[in-house]
Amino acid sequence: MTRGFIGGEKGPFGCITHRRVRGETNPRRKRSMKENIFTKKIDRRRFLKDVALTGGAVFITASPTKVFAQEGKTPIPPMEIIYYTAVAEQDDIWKLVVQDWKKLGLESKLKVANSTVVAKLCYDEHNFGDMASFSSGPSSERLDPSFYLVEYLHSKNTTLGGKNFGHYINPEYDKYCDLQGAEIDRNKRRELVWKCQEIAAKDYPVWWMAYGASIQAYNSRDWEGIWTMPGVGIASRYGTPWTFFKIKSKTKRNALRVGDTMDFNTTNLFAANDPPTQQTLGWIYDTYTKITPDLETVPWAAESWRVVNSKTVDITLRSGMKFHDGNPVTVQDVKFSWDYTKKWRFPIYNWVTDTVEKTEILDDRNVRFTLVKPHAPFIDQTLAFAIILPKHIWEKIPESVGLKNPIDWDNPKCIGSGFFKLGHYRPSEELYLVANKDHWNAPSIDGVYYRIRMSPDAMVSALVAGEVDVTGDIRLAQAKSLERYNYLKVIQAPNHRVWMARPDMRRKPFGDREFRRALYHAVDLKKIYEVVFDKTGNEGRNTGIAPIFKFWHNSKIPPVDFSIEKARKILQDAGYSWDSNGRLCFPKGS
Amino acid sequence: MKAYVIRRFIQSIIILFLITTIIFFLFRIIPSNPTAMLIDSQLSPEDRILVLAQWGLDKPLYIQYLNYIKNLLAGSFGVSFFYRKPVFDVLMETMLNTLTLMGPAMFIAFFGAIFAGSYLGWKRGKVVEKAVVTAAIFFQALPLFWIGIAALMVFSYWLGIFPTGGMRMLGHGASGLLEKYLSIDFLRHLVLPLSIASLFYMVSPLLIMRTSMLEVRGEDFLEMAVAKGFDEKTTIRHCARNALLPIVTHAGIMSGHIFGGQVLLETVFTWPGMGRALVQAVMHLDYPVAQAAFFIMAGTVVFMNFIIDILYGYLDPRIVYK
Repeated sequence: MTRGFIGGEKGPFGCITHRRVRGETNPRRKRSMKENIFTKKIDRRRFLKDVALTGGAVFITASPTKVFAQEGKTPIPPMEIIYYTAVAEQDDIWKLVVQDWKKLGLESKLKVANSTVVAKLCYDEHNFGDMASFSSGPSSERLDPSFYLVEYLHSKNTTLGGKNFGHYINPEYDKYCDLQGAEIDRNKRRELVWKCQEIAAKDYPVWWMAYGASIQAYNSRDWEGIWTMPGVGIASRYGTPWTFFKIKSKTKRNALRVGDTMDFNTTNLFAANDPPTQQTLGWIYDTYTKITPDLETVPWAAESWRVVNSKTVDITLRSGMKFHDGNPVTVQDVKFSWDYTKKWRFPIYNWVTDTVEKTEILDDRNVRFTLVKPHAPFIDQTLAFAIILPKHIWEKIPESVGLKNPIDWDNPKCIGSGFFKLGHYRPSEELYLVANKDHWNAPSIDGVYYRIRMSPDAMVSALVAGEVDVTGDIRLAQAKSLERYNYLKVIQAPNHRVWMARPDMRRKPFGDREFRRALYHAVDLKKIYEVVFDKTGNEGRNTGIAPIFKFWHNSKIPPVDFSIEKARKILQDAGYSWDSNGRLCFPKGS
Repeated sequence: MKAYVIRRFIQSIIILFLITTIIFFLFRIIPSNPTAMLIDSQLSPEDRILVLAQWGLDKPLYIQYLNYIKNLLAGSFGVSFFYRKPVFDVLMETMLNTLTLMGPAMFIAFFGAIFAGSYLGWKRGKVVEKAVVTAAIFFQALPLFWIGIAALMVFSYWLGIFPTGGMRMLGHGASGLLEKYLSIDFLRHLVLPLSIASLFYMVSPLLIMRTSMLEVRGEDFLEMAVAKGFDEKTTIRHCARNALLPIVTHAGIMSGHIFGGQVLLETVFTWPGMGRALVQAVMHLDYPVAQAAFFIMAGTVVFMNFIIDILYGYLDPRIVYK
């Protein structure tokens, strides 16, 4: 039977409609459709077919993953990376890194947020997307390896609120981490600290991007004898500026004026909730030990110490010390300070008191500390932060001032025994500390003024105009703008600030060690060091212990060389593949 | 009149209450909590919970809200998380510092605008009018912080005439109020931010006054005044008084700037005022201070508008209160 048109007839609107034999191509289809569109008579079969095709196209475009999954390849979705706003270095780092990761077939979504928001997402909720990037500030209580080893990487800190929000869990690492925390012998502890770094370096739980530097400037026409301290630089309030003990004025004015971006919020240490305030109060009150610019622990209020056993430490109180009101500092004050803070449990201070079970007075110079458990950083960290309170003042607090908790006391006179006395504090404006010339290690200056909460620009302008003598941390570009002033000098002091990015290892594919390793090889650490930080600080290495910790930093850990080819090879060997669009895909069956 | 004042007063209270409520919840919807700023310290998760409890943030939101309102009705803004002392004490000194800068600035801006606007409106079409209006619009188009930075660059950095910021030199020993605010050192620090603030905030009322003058200029009573042989000065005064109403309305809005609009200016000039305290409070999520600062700003605007509404009747007797 011949297939074809067998005739035509007039439709309801006068158009010609055709009867067609099944399977035969309609030569007038185009015309017919045009007619149908204009006449609202749509070919139902054609319509359904078109809808199905369109739907398919939309499905393919919108869900490539599912379609390719049928072919056995699932592209890794764009990675969400969150970091703080207002930190120019973060932006610069990630602009470089995402370009290189793109070469691996990985897309990234950069998300920026306020620091408190990022902190909440990371620390409180452990729900920050694929990875978070930030830097840890170079405050003095972080001058011990425990902070980096335990806080960031020990599995006990994977609970909500803990800092191991990337959920790195390695029982072997935990074992060595605990051992180093309990090892009192410094050399033995170093072996354990190195071992921890070695284990973590093989697991790549964090990509350590760079180590920071304090960039500051001072007036060299008026001052000499600068002595920089890691994290502190010349005179920042992130620790004890040893400059105070050495600096000399070339003019008649012997009080140093420092520009400062930070605030000073209270004269009560137990209410001080920011490191600069806590550290400043550590100059007004005496601590038992101090950390030198060479990162050695030296005697301070404790003239000497003896490690009796792993849980017992005896200290000898320095003789002849006096509080600012003239009262002598005695072992009773020492014991009172620990008992009082244990009794009141000040949240900001509990990390100090919780290390000690009890204190005993051995004689009028010696005090014995019995620790809750062996605690290696006790001398270097705990005793460098713990303060001696004047018993004759604090024993009456809070009752004598009509309060319920000493934390609410404003401590107006702030009597301590430290090398500085409180001069005055003008909110949001100025802090003045007067040198305690009766101190056994009195500052070489008469006092120090801090103009607080200045912007870095204002600090630079004030330095040029001679309104301040020293700046806090400034940006590199600002430092360069000062080169033309021959009476100003810029210092770049490497510190223990660590710039890092850490993935959430609970999320695929970040739980895969090879994936993390490959991505780290695709981070150009040298370029970050040279371009972003202009060769200040130190180039990133595969450990959180910065190179300034010469004793603790494990320099034997091999560097992570930057090589896209190597990264691709690692991924390939681990079963990752690329789709036709060059996108990196999960290993088959993962 | 009495009924109107009472009604208007109640309205103001309701507005203030609504603003207070919005401010309270606005801070709570930020996906963070104030202990996030304590992360930098060695605070353990357990101790952070302890801190939250001390700050009363462990309680349900509605209890926190009720406590906040209860404190507010008792005249207390609570205790600052960051400074650990009553918010009033925290803000008192910074408020005074702000007032010493913005009070005179607003005074100069307002009265300067009245006089200059009246004159310009009267001199319409003259070169002086064209020049000043062009300059004013240009000045208004620039961001305040940029003007501040540029002024610092020129007068402090290059010419070295004025200090680069702050309210007094470091170590200035003034203790008493008079000594603090009337010393030469203070005035030297005041000149630059005060000039910038005065000029910046003068532009809007100046243009309003000028426009208002142009509208009133065509009125019959002015032609009558001219026909009577009044001199130009008297005629301008008559015209200006009738043109005042819009600018008085604007004064209510301007009053908000006394505490609120100077945040950028204080930051640029390192002026230890309430604006910087507010920025600090917001950055540290110091809810009590931030809430109090916003409350004071809102309260100033609401109160000033209330006063101005009442003043209308005195300024323009044609207005009848119902």
